[in-house]
Amino acid sequence: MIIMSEELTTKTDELSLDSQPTTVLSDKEEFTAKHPLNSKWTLWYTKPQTSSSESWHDLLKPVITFSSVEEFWGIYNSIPSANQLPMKSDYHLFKEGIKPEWEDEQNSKGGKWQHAFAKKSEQASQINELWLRGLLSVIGETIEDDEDEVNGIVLNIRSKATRIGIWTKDCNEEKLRPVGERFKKVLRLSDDHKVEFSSHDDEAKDKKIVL
Amino acid sequence: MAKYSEEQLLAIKEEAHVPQEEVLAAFNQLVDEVKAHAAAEAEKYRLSKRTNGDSYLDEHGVERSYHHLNRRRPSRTGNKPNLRKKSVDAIQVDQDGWATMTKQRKSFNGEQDDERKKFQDSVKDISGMKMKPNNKNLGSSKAADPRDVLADRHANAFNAFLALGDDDDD
Repeated sequence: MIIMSEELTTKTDELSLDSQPTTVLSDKEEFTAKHPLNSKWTLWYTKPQTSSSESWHDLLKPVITFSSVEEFWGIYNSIPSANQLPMKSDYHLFKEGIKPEWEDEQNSKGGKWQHAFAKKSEQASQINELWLRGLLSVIGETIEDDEDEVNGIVLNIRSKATRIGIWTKDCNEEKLRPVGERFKKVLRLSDDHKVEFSSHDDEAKDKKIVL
Repeated sequence: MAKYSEEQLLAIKEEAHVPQEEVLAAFNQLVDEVKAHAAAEAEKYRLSKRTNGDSYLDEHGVERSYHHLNRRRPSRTGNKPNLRKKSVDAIQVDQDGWATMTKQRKSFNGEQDDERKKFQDSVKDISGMKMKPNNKNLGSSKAADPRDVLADRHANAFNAFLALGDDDDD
């Protein structure tokens, strides 16, 4: 009897309020995160300069970080689409902890695969869809196999062209080629349209890969 | 590592959840402010251009002014109109009724010629008096009398004939 009583006491202790399972009432954020992503991602925005006193660092702002597919869609549906952004704006979606700058330690030895869609081109009218495809390939991590090369994806809205670029960790051509080939498929580019890789490092600037 | 294909991700689209609505609302407000600023700057630039306000829509539906099509009036480009009065033709009708147009000469009259000569001689007689030419219609950099220009010119040219007759050569 004494033994049974001790067991009951222990079990009762375990039933404290602290160990209650997470529900939509206690933690709405966790409850909705049914499809977690492999990495946490941060959306950044480069605001066009509206005053001469603003520097690059003032213009680049982190907007929000997310870690699930549901959150991604919630954010995507709530922010301006690519074709609604003002001129000279940039969207950057990078893994949490990596700043979308060349100087960041994770980017400094890498580069970017990039394609520019001329404003008058046929694809320019599909820029929203192509940007979304780029985002999905990055957060779903289908843009690469297990290379772990991709740091983020960038959209530049400019007067003559809209550019989409994939930023990588390093410049190893062997690892980069499959990423570039997948990027080209994601952007639905034909053989006539090229994606070009350029290094962030000034010394390696001349070394370019074109697919 | 769990990967999501494009199709899998699209299938979850309906389950969207907005994590921090207030953050996204602030972001949208920022983008709206930037757009408003860009629109104001574009309008300011449009107004700053020298146009007469006339405009047309080009093939892309963009409003453009006629500025590039407008020619400036000729007097602004150097071809100034000749405002000098032209001599009026006189019409003389003879006895048979034939009309002939004749140009009037400014001074044909003998009396006027005499008066002019008299005046010119009187001017020559005045000695020691400086005459100021009426050069109000001449450019300031131009000499009133072209002969003055010749007289003032310093001659450096070597005259061989004068040199031959020079006695100081010994």
